[in-house]
Amino acid sequence: MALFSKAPAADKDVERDESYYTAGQYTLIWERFRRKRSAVVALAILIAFILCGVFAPFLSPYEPNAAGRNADYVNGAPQIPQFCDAAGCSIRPFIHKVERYRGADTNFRWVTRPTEERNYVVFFPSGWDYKFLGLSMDRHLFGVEDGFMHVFGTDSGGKDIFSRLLHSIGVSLAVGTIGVLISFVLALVIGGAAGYFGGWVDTILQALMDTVKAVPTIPLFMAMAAFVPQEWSAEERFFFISMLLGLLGWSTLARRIRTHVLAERNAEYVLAAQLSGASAAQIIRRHLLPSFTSYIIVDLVISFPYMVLSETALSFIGLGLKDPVNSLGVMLQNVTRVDVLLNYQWYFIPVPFFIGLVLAFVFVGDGLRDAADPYSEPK
Amino acid sequence: MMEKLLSVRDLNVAFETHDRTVEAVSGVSFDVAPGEVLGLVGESGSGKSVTGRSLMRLNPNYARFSEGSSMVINSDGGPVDILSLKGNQQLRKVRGDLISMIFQEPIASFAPALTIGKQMTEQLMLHRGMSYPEARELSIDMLDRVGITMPEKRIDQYAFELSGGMRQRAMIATALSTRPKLLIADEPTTALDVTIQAQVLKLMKELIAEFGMGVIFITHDLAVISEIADRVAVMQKGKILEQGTVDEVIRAPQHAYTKRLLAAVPRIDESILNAPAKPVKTEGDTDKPIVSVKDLTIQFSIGKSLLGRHTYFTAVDKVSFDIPKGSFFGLVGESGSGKTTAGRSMLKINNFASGSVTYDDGDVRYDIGSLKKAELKDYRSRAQLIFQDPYAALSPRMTVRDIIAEPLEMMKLTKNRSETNERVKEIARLCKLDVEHLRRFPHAFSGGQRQRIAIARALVSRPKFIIADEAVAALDVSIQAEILDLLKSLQKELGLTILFISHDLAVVANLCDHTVVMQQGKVVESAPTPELFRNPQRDYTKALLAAAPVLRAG
Repeated sequence: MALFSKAPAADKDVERDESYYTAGQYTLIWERFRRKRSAVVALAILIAFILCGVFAPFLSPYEPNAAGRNADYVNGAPQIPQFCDAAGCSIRPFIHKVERYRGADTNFRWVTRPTEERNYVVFFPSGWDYKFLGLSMDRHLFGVEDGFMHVFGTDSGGKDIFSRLLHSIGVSLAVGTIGVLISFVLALVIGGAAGYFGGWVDTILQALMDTVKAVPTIPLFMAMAAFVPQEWSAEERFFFISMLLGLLGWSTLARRIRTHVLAERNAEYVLAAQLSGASAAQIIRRHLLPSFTSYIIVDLVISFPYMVLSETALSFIGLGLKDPVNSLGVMLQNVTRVDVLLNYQWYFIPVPFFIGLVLAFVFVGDGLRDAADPYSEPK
Repeated sequence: MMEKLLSVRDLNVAFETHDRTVEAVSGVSFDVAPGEVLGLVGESGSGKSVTGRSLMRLNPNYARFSEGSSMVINSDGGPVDILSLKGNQQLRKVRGDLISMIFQEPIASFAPALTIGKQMTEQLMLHRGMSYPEARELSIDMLDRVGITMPEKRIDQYAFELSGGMRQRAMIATALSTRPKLLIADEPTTALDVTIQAQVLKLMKELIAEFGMGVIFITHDLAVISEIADRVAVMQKGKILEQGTVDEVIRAPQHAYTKRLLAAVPRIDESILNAPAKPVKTEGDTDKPIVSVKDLTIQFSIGKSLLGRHTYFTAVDKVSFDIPKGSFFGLVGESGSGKTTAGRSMLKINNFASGSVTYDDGDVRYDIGSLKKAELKDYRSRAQLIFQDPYAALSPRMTVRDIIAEPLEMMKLTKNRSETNERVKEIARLCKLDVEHLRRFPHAFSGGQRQRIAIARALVSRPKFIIADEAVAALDVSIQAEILDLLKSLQKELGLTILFISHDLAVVANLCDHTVVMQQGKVVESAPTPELFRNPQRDYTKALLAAAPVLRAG
């Protein structure tokens, strides 16, 4: 092998060159995306969030609703697993058990107080049933031997904030996805038509985009809040919110798509395709769409956090999802009470997660935008 | 020789990008004396513009000058080391005070929202500390000096209100008004038509004689250099290969690259002028023209009055000519002459107002004005277009194979994929493309290779008639020669008829059997090429021929 040590190196060089020359746009986009560290880190965080959302039932030790409440530990502080206490250290992490107590020292009011008794953390215990990919399962990532453990504390209903947070991320991402999908389809059709046909079609569709953009959102949401019947179920509200966000969010995206189509359809290679006998549909599919899919992906990723933000805002003003349902907006809404600020600060734990999620989207979108046009690279 | 004005020694400029360092200029040394014109010649990527910009320190911030580089310019207040200047205040010395620059695109060099006068007076006030009325007076003077009529009126106009030649004159006036010692002209006439180019070159010569400044004239065009420069430096890949007086370099080039470059420049020489008018090949029984244009008129709507009446701009006005089968047919004109519009209407890319275009290749006969959909599809396989800009004409997201195969697939000219592949490979070989490269994407190719791909795409459907619209205008001169050779050999081999649209008389003279000259939408003259160049009949043709820069062949 040593005899040929030079040749393989040269071969490798050629190979790399060939892979560059034959690289499609997605390979090149990934190559450029990878060079941006912040974007890669953000992508890893984002994937972690998505996995949290998808695997929420497995990751959360308790049901995120009334069924999973711990009536004995209402507004309870976070219980951090520990390895040592006054009685010594242990290899297995544990928390202290709590008990309900009332006596002269508490003015005969019920209080919850920790005891000296250890409650060891266990992994993969069986707990509440859930369905995942159609399978009925009851295993969870972790729990305690006896009773409950609340790593992020509990809320006023005794529900586990950690479990609620995981489910909220899933719900908010789902609302965002549906919203983005609806607005994407609308934007692609309306923006694409406006850009490709031009003329009066463009004028009318642009007027429509402007109209939608000009609608002030907060008053509209308030009006909607009054309109939504109180007896709507959580699912109905969920879809209503998603639809509303999608129907309001398409105009910006549509305008961007219109611009791309407009810019590309006068390009000489489109004329060349026409001269090659390609029909309008073939030109759109083979030439126009591939030339700006990377931009569309960027736009989608960038519009995602706005969907999540809007859902949060809607829920926050009371139009969106309501308390039994878990969404980031609901979690944030719970933070607004004064006694939370004074006494139950662990309600704030979802806030940094929410900010982290939005930032992850923004940074990934940012990195993608820089990487979006691989052919603009100077030689 | 007079005292040196500028002395550049061992200039090294490297561009540092995130993953590599590119040596843009390496070890470049030259001098410029006052009143001397140094031509800096090279093809794209040779580092000639980077060198020019380095003198004004206009490089992007990722550019690095290496140790040992030195650029010194002598001013009245002693020598100035250009590389040691720091901050805007000091850099102003080489940005306007001592050195001025004129650029290729005058429209891009003037701020669009400010009047010419505002931009001229501003720098006079900054550099020469003049008051506004003084600066304005001098600006009007300068505009008058560069041959702009009614300078008092022009000074309050915006750049877009002036014609291309006027703009470049105004740019020169602006650059010279601060009385720089050195003028850097970066391709100042490349974007101009030949007649305007000749005027601007003449003006520059006069001004150089009058003001006595040193000039660095950067261009890719050897003919222009031979007309204006005293000395020439030939650059390639960031290095100066040879420098000397114009006569030395052009008459007796030492370096192989210079020789190749000179050989590639198309010339109008005796052999072309004295050639007998080529008898046009007749194939079989037909001596009918393949394309016949009669009274072709094309109008564009440029606006609509309140009453809904359209106003039209006539781009092509009653043009008639016949393109004989198997010929290389030249269509020449300056920008705005309607040559491209006329050519494109023959492929039914734009519709025409009146007149007719008839296509007849012996098998079929089409009246282009009234083609039906199915006929159009068939016609598209018989007549194709080669574009000017090989970068814009190739879909960036498709592989070379897919690009070339597209006409076959779209028009369903082949039965199956393997037949398509065979056809693609066959045409790729004809166009001297490496078959191995078919899997690659266009971004991996240089301009010349891209143009080969574009030609292969145009030819893959085995057309009879090709329109080459400025097909070599965007290419470097040596690549231009290669592509022209390729077109010539393809024309012979495949029996094509090629309509070659160009602004470049020398190229047309070397290539075409018959030439039509257009001006402002009308045919001015039409004659066999040798005859046209030997004995032009019309004043416009004569003016065009006189204006074309000619390589002084010693």
